[in-house]
Amino acid sequence: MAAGRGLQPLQSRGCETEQIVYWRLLVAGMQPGWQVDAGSDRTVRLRGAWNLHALGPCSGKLAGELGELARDANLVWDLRQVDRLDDAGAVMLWRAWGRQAPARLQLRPEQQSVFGHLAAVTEPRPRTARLGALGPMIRFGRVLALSAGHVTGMLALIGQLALDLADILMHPTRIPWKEISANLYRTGAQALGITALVGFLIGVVLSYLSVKQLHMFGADVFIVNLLGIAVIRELGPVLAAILVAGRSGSAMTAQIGVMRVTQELDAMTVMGVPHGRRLILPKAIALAIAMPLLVLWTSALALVGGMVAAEFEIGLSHLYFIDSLRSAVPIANLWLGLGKGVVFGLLIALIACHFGLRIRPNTESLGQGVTASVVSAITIVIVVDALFAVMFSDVGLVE
Amino acid sequence: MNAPVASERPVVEIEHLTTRFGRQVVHRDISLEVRRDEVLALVGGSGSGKTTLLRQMLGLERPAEGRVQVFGVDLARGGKEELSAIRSRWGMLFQNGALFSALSVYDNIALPLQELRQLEPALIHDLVMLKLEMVGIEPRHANKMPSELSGGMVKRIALARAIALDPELLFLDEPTAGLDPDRSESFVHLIQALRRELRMTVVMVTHDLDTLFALADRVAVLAHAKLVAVDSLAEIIKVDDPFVCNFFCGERGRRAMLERSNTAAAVRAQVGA
Repeated sequence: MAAGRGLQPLQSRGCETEQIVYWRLLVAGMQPGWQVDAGSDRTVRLRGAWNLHALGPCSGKLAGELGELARDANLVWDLRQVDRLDDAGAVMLWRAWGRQAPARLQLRPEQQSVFGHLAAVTEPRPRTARLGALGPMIRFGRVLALSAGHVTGMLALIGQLALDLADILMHPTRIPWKEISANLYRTGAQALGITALVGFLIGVVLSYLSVKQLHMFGADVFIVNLLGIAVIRELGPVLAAILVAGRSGSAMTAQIGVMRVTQELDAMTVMGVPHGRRLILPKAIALAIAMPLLVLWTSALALVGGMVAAEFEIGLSHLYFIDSLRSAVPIANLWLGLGKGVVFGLLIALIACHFGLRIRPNTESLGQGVTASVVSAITIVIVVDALFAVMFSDVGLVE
Repeated sequence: MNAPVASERPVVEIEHLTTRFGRQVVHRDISLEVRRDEVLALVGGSGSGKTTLLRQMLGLERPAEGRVQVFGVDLARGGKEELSAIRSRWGMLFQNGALFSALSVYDNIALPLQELRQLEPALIHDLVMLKLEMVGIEPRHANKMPSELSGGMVKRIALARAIALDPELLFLDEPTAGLDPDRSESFVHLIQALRRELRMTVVMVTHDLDTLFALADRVAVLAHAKLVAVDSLAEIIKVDDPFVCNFFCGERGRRAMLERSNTAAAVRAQVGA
């Protein structure tokens, strides 16, 4: 027996608390090590615990030393005195041996199976395919195909919605009253608080800033015209739409996405319950009803906020404010605002459902789908609002 | 600092455990021990709190009263270091696999190994491929996502993940539910082989009598929020309780007991030795 060697004692490894060292010693029994007998047959006798917990902290060092040792192909390896040999220990030895069992290996019977399994692992993990020189082209093509997919998907959804609408109008008994009313409550009634708060505060801020500017020209009373047109025609609908897209749009996408993950969508298909009529139609109808009402509510609260701020700042009487609102803002603006509300509501519901149905059954896709749904809904609402501004530029504005 | 002290103590000790969800009492004053190197099966009717008891042993639920100790550490009161040390010594096979759907098969199994932050990527690679081989999954499936796999494959990969750290204590929740009889039998053989190779203590919840007879050393029967009996199979069958009688003495029970045959006994003798 020459060249006896062991590893450094566990305590000296700096990365552990004493408590953990203590239980590791209890579990491990002994630290991994070996000794080399220098007889006619040079024999490596492994001893101690060769398991993950004992090996983990020193695996790199140990692997290097084992590799050195294994260069001598004539060595006899004796693993019979090893206290605990688990898969991690076996893999480490296997790697040192160059992925094959050494010619002379002595094992206990129960140790043989793991080396049998290791010998049976012939292939490494397959490489994931990489895009070649055409990578950017392929990626661009994928983006195009994805966009085309979104457009056709949305068109199909709108078409399906129209068909479903026609269907329930012909057969009024099929109208899903319960779903519509549940969605109305969730997207409309429960959104009253947040839209009121945001609307009121925006009204206050807008009025406060504008009144200061108008005061310089002695045009204080025109605050009514400014606020009235801006809030009723533009800010009310857009504010309400952004809040609803963030609140209800995300919830709708997540709901449909989770139904995909839990196979509820498949269950509905199997039962012959069409997704369009049961899931999408009630949401679209509910939001188309709730949105104009929320627009009205948000606009009203924003005007109240503006009125309060104007009275505080320049002492403009609230009675005068209300009275002159009628003449300052043509009623067409209100209809335009409410009309926008209906369109925005439909758009948000359709976009939410579109992204919800595209979610694949995994958690990552769920998160991406909800994000994409909210971002797209807000963007499209603002784009459509700009279209409205161009289309109706000569409606409801006094020259 | 001698190893026998650790091995004499039961791996899991449950003392006077009461579990409540709101006003519903799931367990009332349950005491149970899991001994080292045994396979303990939890059986009971639907809703009798088997899976909840398993969750208590994993620290996923908190006891309303009593305590649960694993490897001598109280799960509700243990320090962060102690608990994280325990968590690298046990493995759990969830009923539906609970594979991370955003990660590939390979990454699912590699995750617990990477989280140790002690092993090189090349060693982790070989370990993952070894675990896949042990559960009979070909290397070409390594880059697939869980949603592309069949139910049986998900189960085997989840088992590979559960044994990734070569745990001393393995929890199995309905290991053979949802597998066809052939797959179910090979799954049982797989667990038997793993037990022989890895010296594991196993706690499992199962409804399947074949699995029970093939694997269990002792059986704990839960009914009406109580532990009706804990004993070896031979003794359990003699217990005079309506549930036990229904469960074991029906037609299925008798058939499974006949099939138990010499092989299972031989395996257990081998493990015991």
